[in-house]
Amino acid sequence: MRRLCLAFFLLIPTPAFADHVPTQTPYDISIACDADGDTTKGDITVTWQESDGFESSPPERYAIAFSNDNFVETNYAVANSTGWETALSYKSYVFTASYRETIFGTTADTFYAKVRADNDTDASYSEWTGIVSIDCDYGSTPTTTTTTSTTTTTTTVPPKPEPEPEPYVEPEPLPPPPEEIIVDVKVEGVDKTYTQADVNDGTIERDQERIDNESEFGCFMTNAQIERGDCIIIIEEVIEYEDEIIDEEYIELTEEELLELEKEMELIILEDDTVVLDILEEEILEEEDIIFEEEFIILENEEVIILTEEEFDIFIKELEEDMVEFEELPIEFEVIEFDLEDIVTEDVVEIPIPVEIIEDEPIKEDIPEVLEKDITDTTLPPVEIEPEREEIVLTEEEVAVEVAEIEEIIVIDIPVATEEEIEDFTDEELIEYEEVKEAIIQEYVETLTEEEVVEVLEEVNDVGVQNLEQATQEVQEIVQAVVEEAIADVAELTEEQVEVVAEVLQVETEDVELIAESVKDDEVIAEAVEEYVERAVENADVENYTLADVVTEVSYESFIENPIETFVDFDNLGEITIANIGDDMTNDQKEKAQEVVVPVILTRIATMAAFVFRRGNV
Amino acid sequence: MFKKLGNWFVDAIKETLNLSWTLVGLVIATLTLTGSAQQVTGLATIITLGIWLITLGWRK
Repeated sequence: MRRLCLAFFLLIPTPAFADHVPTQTPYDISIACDADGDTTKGDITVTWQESDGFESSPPERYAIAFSNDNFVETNYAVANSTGWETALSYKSYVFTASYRETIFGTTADTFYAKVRADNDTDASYSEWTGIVSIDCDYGSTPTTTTTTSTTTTTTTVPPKPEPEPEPYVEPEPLPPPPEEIIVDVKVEGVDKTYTQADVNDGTIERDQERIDNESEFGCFMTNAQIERGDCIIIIEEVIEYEDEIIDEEYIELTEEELLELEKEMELIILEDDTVVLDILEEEILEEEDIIFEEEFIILENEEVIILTEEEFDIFIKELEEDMVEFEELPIEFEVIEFDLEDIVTEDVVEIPIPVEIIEDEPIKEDIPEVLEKDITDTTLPPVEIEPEREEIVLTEEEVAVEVAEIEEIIVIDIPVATEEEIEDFTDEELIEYEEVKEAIIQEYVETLTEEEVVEVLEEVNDVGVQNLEQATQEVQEIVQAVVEEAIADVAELTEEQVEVVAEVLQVETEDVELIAESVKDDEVIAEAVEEYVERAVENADVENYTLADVVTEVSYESFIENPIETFVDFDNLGEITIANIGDDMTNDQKEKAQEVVVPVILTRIATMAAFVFRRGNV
Repeated sequence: MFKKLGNWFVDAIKETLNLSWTLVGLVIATLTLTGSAQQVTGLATIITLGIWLITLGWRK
C-alpha cells in the first residue's frame, strides 16, 4: 500500500516551491522630502524597489496610496505609468507641494504613503508595502478662493486667433484650430470637449450616465455597466437586521420561559445540524471593516466619493479610456470634415450647468498640472505586437534572383579554383589556397562599414540563409564572415540593424546581445556562430533550422570527441546562482531544451512508478 | 577488502546500466542546454550518479 502511495506521489506532478507570488510586493519603500530645491522645494519622493522579475504576473503599474492621517479617514491613490522594467531597480513617484496642497488643503500634515504592484491583465495585485511617512511643510502657496459659476457652452466654439509670437521666443506649433469642437462640458472637474463624432456615437450620453451613476451608486460607470453588474451596489439590509436583533434582546423572559426557549433551541440545532445563532453581529461587522479598509476616497467637484478597491481600478481604467479619447481627437480632426454651420443648426446638445468653485490663479495653475500628471501616469505604455516571422517560400527563379543580388553587393577579388584544379592540389597547396582565400575574405569584411554589413544581411534575409545553397562557396563564406563581424560589433549596431542580424540567426532580437556575450567565453557557441551559415545550407531541407540547432549539433560533436570534458568543463561556477541559471541562454535554446528535458523527467517518473508498482505486486 | 570493492564495482556497473535510459536523457538534456544551465545540469548529473552508486549497499 505504501508503495502504491509512493507511486501515485511520483506520478502527480508537484509544483516547485518558491518564495514568489504571482505579483510580488515592492521591496524597500522609502520616502524623502526636498527641503532645498528652488523649483522642487516641498516635493515628496516615494521610492521603491522592483521585484527580481520571477513572477507569473509581473507589475503592469504601481499604485501609490497616500494619506495625511495614516489612512484612518483619508485614502487617496495614484498610479504610475510603467510596470516592471528591470530586476531590483528603483522606481519613484513625486508628490509636489502644490499637489498635496490641492488635495489636503495644506502641506503641514504628515504625509503617509504605501505602494502596491498591479497586474490588471491577470487581475493580480500584490500586498501593500509597509507605510512610510514624512513631515515636509515646504513649498505651500497662499491661496484665496473665490466662488464663481461657470456656464457650459452648448454652441460651437469659434476658432481662437493664434497669439502673436513673442520676440526671441520660438512659438510652439499650435494644435489644429478647433473648428470641429461643438460642445465644451465640465465632466468630473475636467474641462472636456466633444466633437460631432462624440455626439453621434453617444460618448456624451455615456459620460452623463457615468456622472449620474456616480452620484447615485458611487460607481463611475455607464448604465450598461451597471446593468451588467460591474458596480457593487450595497443595499443596507444589515441595519434592519441589526435592529431586529436589538429588538429581540429586549424581550423580557421569566426563568421558565428561558428554560423552555433553550430546550427549543437545542432541538432546532440538533434537527438542522447547523449553528446559526452565533455568527450574526460579529461577522457582519468584520465584513464591514474589510470593505472600509479597502476603500479609496476620490475628490470630485468638492464631493467625497468612496470607492472600493475594484471600483478604484475601474475608475482608473475609465480615466485611461478618457485619456485615449483626448489623445485621439487631433487625429480625428485631420480626417473628418465638418460643415460648421450645419452642425450648429442641426445638433445642439443641452447639458445641465453645474455651479462649480473655481480656485484662484495659483491653484488654477496647479490643477491642470496635477490632472495632466495623474492622467498621463495612469496610461500604460503601448505594447508593440511583433508579427510572427513568416517562413520564406521562394521559387527557384526568385532564389536565383536574390542570390544574384547578393553577389552584386559583394564585390571582391578572390582567386577561385575550379573543382578540377582543387583535386590536383597537393595538401600543402590546398591549405595555402584556403588560407589565402580566408585572409582575403577577412580583409574584405573588415573594410565593410556597419551599413554595408547590414545591407548584405538584409539581402541574405530576403533569400533565406538555407537558400544560399545556390550561391557559390565563396559567397557563402563571405556571408558567414559578415555574420561573425555583425555579432562581434553588435554593440555598435542600431536596434534595426540588430533585428536584421537576429533574423539571419533566427533568434529573438534581445538574444543577439546574449549570443555576442556567449561567443566570448563559450567555445561551443563561438563555433556554432562560425559554422552557422555552412550548417544551415547543409540542412536546407530541415524546417525551422536555427542557431539553437547548430549549438546542439556542435555540443553533441564536442561530447563525442571528449565526453568527460562536456560534463566537467566548469567555468565561473561560483558566479552561478539559482536566480541566474539559464539567463545566458537564448529563448530559442530554452524552448528547444524544454522539448527535451520535460519528456526526460516525465519518462523517469513513469519508469520509477512502474518499477515500484511491479515490486509491490511481487 | 578487494573482494568487497570488486563486488561493489560490479554492482555499480549493473546499476549504471539500469539507469541507461535515464542517463541518455540527461546527457541529451545537457547537450541541448548552454552556458550556466548546461554546467549545472552536468554537475548535478555527475554528483547524483556518484551518490547513487556510493549508497548502493546502504539502499539495498
